[in-house]
Amino acid sequence: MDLSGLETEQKTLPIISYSSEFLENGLPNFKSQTLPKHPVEKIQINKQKNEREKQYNMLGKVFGSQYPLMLRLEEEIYNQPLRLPCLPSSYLSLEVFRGTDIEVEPEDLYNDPNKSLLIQPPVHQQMEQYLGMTDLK
Amino acid sequence: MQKGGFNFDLYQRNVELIEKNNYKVPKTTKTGTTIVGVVFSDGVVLGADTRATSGPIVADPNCEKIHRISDYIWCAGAGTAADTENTTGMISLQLELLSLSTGRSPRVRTALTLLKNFLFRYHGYISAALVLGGVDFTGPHLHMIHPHGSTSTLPYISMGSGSLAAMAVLETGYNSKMGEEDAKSLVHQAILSGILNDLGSGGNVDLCVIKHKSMEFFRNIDTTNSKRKFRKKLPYMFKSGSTKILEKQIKEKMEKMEIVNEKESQIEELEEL
Repeated sequence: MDLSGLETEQKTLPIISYSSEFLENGLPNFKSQTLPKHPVEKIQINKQKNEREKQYNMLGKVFGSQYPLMLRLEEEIYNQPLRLPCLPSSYLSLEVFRGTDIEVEPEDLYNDPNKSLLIQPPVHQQMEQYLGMTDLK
Repeated sequence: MQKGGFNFDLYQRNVELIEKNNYKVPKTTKTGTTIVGVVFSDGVVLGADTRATSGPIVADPNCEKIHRISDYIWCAGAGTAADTENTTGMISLQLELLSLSTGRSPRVRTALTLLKNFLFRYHGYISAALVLGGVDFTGPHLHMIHPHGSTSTLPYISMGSGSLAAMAVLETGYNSKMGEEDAKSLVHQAILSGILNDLGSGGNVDLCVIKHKSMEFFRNIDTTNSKRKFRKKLPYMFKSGSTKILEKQIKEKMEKMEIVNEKESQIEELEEL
């Protein structure tokens, strides 16, 4: 078992986003999180976080430890969802703070899930809306 | 949340295949190219052949291997064609954004750092071997970039499967006080040497001369190697009777019938009356 993948992987509980999620995607499967990951994939997952940590370390050594503390505090504030519960937040201020809003990565150009031909839109949701069968009262 | 970029879904399946089923891993294909770069007194000359191969077959006899990164920074690419094109396209995008946000004209060294950091992140899986050359406000620069992310700065460079043939010509003919015409002819000879002596290279010769605030692209400057001497005249003419007739079926020609709208025909009849 490749443990290095586990340490670096962000572990999450399954979040039920819509009622027919298990019908479409199957029951939650934690096995994929324990299986070994490609070394390049590990790099892609951790690259941004590692680079930020390196930056903070360097800033702490140059300017004193309170400066990265201030920056981390600011980042935490921006990381909070500011919309009403169950509405997704865009985290635009976080992107601007981290500088990723003007960065172009392969994730932005290639294999865009919005342009994918294989993955389909949530058909059940759309049909429920169309027929007026939604859970919202 | 669905994310774009590279897809690693099949990695676990591949690991199982290799361990349990003794699957033979396919070998990486060699780069079938000759690309060359030379620094002269005023600037840089880049050269490339134009053959794109897919295994033993020539997929494109006249492709473009010299890509634009900025107006006066160009890059010749060897390796997987998709990797070189998309990598240089992405770095060109990033460099443009950077130069707009800093308000300064882009440097060759910046493009080099962006490329080498990008390629190192993928540990050589993006097989793009590049010859990056250009002229910025600090002068002419020429760099070579290997797929794993290592770089070198040299006065003359050759890469690809025809690099040995081209390097032989460069080593013989290079001198540090060359002018533009000498550099152009040296690069031309180096690419020709690669085309003639290497199986993976062929086609025409492309040249790119970059000087301060000037860029000249000579597309297909030499096409003597791509003209096929012996060619059958088109169209193919077959004598009648050269194909054996197995069966004959003769159908009567149907008369052309017009379908008239009922209402229209009634209106016409009423009008006549």
